[in-house]
Amino acid sequence: MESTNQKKKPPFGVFQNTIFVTKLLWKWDKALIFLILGNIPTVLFIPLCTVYLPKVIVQAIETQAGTSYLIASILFLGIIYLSLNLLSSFIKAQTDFRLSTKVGAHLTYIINEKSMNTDYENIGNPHTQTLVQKSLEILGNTMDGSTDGGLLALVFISLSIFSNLLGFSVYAGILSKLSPFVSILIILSSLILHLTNTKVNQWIYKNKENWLKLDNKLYYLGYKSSDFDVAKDIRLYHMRNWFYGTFKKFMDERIRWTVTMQLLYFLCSVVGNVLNLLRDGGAYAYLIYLVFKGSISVSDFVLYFGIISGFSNWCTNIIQNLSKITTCNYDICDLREFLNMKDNTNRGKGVALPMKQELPYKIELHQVHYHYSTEEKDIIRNINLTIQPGEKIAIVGANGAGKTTLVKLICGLYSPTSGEIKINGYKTEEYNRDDYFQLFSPVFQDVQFLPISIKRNITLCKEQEIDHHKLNQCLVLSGLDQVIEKLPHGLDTLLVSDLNEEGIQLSGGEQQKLMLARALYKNAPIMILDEPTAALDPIAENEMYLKYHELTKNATSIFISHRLASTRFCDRILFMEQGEIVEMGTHEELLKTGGKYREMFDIQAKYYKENRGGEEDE
Amino acid sequence: MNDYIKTRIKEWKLVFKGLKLVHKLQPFLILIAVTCNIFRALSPFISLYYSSQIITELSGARDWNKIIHYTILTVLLNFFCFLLIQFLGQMWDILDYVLGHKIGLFIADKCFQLDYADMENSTIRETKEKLHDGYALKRVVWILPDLISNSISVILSVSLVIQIFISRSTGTDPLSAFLNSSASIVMLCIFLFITIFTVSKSNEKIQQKSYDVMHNTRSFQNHLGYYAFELSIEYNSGKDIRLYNQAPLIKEELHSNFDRILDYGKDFFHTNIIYTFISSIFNHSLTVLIYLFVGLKALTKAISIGNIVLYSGAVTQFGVGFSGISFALTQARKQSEYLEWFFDFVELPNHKETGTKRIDLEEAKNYEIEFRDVSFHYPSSENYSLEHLNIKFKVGEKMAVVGRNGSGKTTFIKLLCRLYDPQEGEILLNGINIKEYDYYDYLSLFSVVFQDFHLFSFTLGENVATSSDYDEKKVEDCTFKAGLEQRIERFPNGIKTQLYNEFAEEGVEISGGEAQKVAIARALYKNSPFIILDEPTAALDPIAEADIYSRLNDLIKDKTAVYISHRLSSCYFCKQIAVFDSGHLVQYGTHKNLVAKEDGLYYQLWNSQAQYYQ
Repeated sequence: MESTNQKKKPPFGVFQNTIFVTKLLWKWDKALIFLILGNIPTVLFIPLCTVYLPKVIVQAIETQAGTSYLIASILFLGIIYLSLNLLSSFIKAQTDFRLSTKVGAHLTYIINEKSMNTDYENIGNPHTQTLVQKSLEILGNTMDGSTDGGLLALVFISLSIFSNLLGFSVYAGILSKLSPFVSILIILSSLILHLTNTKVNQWIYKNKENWLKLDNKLYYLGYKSSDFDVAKDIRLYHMRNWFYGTFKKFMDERIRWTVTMQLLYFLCSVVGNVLNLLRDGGAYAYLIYLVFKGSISVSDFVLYFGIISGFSNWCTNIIQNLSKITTCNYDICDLREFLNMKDNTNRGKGVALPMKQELPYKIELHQVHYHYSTEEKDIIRNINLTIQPGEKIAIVGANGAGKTTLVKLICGLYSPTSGEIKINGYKTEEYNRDDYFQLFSPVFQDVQFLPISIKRNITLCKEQEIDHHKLNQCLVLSGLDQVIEKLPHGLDTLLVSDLNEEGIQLSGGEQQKLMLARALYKNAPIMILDEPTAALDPIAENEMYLKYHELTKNATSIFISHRLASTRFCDRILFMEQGEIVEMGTHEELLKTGGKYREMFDIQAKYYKENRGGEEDE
Repeated sequence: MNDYIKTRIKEWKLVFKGLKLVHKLQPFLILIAVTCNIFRALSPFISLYYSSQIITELSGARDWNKIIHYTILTVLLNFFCFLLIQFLGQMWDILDYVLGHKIGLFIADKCFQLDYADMENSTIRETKEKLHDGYALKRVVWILPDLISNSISVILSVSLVIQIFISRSTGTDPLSAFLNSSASIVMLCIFLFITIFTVSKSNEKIQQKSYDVMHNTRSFQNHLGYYAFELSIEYNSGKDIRLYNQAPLIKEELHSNFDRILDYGKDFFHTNIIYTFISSIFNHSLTVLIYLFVGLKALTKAISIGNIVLYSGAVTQFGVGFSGISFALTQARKQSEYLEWFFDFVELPNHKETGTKRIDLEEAKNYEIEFRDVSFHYPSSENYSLEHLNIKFKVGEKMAVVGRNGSGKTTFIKLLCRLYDPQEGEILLNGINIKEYDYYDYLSLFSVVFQDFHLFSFTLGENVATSSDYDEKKVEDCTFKAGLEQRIERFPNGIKTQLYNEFAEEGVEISGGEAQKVAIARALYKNSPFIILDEPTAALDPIAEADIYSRLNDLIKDKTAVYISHRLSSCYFCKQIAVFDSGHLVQYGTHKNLVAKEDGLYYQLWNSQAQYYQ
């Protein structure tokens, strides 16, 4: 109810989503479906046994039944009770096991498959990120075996409603022998309780934002203050008091919300208690009256009293589950929206990649514009450029000029908002996207390595498929061989020390060498290097420049750098400013023109030159 | 056996230590929890007792007054008891919530004070990871009240059930004789004890298995988490995943990790199901057996009809209380392990806080720092990062530290700032070992911009001043000096603008270059006599870089500045240049002197860059 005001109508109904989930389960783990169904009788009959056991005894005494009858009936009920309990614990253990392994694994696969496979632009979109987070939350809940979150929540809740309804009807049937009014009164009292709870939940739903924000901040502070990476800054700037004070401020605010919330919950429980008081009082009075009147026996009194409280349990469960089902349905809708997300790039058959002998490639950009879907301002404006096969291009410009965005466009990570990019005469969208990606060997500024060996991080293939000769060449070219030499486990050293006890953390310079080696190993016809020397020392940097032609042999290359020394090795330099190419030419040409490139070069050269002058003075 | 007792005693000592700490952090919480649980234990017995009285009356004398009396009592007592339980329960929830944050704060505070070398120690990092934000300390609050309330349930139900044994069947038939004989009682008791033993042993086995499985799969789980929850969904790693076609590799890794988890899962399932069955069979058979016993007792007129309800209810309560105790005991055992880690971590000594000499910043004008034969290696490695280092510099001097990657430049800074203490040699401030100074006084001498500096998702002002209450004029001044003037003009709220939009939509994302400028402003605000900049311009374009250097030169006129940079043009501003090579100081002097030595490392470094600008 509360959700309909806040959210739009869900794209899929409860029924559709239940079918969707069941289909997935059918594919992943058929047995689980039967296990879940098998649980229905246990939910229904275990409570019934506990109500009937004392009744049977009292009845046997009342009616002066024989010893053997008593023993037989207790044993009969007892054995049912015991076997149902065994069945229930078997199903619980099986379900937990299957959820945390089989189902969890499959769900992980499809979520990750989608996030790794969908268009790169989709991943950057904030809405997609929310959907991904939601999907991962569902995954986490599924694997924990939670019954009110997770993939199977809908199924669990639907079945729980079903078995509660069964229980409800059975108990209502028993009670109807007494009087139909009793059931109606109990249903009414459950509804009243439900209404109060709904009111409170509505209030919570409306105000939730307030404390979720605080929770995020508190979590952030807690995380940062014990984060080892931040420890240096925290110590040297003595941030303890700042963090402590801020934490206390947020916490006090948060506690005020908690107190208010708990007070409301307490209000709910007062209402519930009053209703219980009335129900129990009424039930006692009515049943005692019936016993006095002689319409029921004392054993019936025992039975009915149990049934009445059991009946109100069924009612409450049904109502609670009904309100839970709406939120669970939204969860599944989010998951499906993520899994069904459309890709704009060509995922079907495309033009065949040119043959090896036609390498390297020609790249043409024609009136290319680009802006993020969330912003209106163009960050790439009207780029017209033709890169000849085998040409070495350098892109320079101030921070934020759009250099990295331009190469992301060329790589096919982004699609131009207008204009077109052609490779060897074919438009990007004419190639199959994954084929197209094969054309590039990029080195980007940010990296995340896989927690596997250095060797496999470079080759990115199975151990037995590694071309060791090629690998060694790449190691030497990138200068990584010197790093490897010093490692006790050499190429088999694991990366990502947080995950692997024996893993190592590479320094910035070493990381750049590794990324270069990886790009070389891929050996694609177009090489893209985005500031590959930023963390290298001057000698290593120079070594790389000297090897530049060897590195980019047989390839068209694009080099982004703040160090203008590097541009000498390139055939053509593009100077970018605010998303546009403002100057273009060779190093000498641009110096002669005396434009912005010249200005930037002079600034960087100033101290190197002046000092040379100083030297001459001596 | 002796060991068994010893470990139990150790566990409980830890639990009580935990409780003590909880009591210190959040007074009254334990008291409220215990009171709440006592009422929780009592409440079922109220209904049981009075409803059995009502049934006895109904099936016997049918005294109208007594029945009304009992009915009103049971209904009202139940009402007030539940109200009280719920009230205390909400209080408990609130305090428990607060406690969670207080524990977080407690751990954070320890982290602030912890020795930096300890923070980089992988064993300590691991212990820290295992604390799970001190969750165990929160759990420990549940153990004591659980134990008390369940003991009450057990004691009350046992004392009720004993009456069955005392009550004598009146018949003369063999059944009554058997029920009256001690044999029946002994048999029941034996079964009871077997059940208690089996159930608690089974629980223990399951717990142990669960712990083992968790322990053995931790590494796989962590890998899975990294692949599934970080790598494959992140924007940054998305580029490489696509362009290097990493998806098949990641999928393969996911599969292999899941396969191994599946094996352990099966293993746990088998243990779990066997022991659950065993304990379930004993537990429920006991219930049925007692029903049978109670029924037969009633049949032979040893107990009244009303008491059937009372006793069979008591049996159920016994079951609940009994499994509660066994659960609390296994919890104590499980949590004590976490608690041990917790206390291991929070009781780590703070080695650095031993010095007592105070430093008066006002007088800190004439300081001189000397490294005397300093050698150092990281705790995790045996190779020395610095060896026999001797260097001396004064306040007011500008020094550049240059060298190849991994030559020990950053390590030198870390020692200077006392993030680490050297294994050999000593570092002197005005001739006195820096260990003798008050640690925080000593740290206040340095404003450092590390290569991997961190800013926080708070306002720009707070970030610069590292405090929520700051001098606005000074912040503005420092940010302008760092070259952020134009950027701040475009900020929606000036220096009060929230940085980053992690949890505020109005937050402003800043680029790496801008962040570097904020970090420099932060160093300026601190206004210490020493300014240390480790690669301060790596993320900046040439124009911004040149701008920063010329500003810095003006800004730190009378201060000591230490630069580490791969851009050797920065050396131009420095009086002294220290050249490091594989942990040794190989050259030290002015630019002019060093660049003249053509066989020196400095010449090589300088020329590899300068040649392109001639």
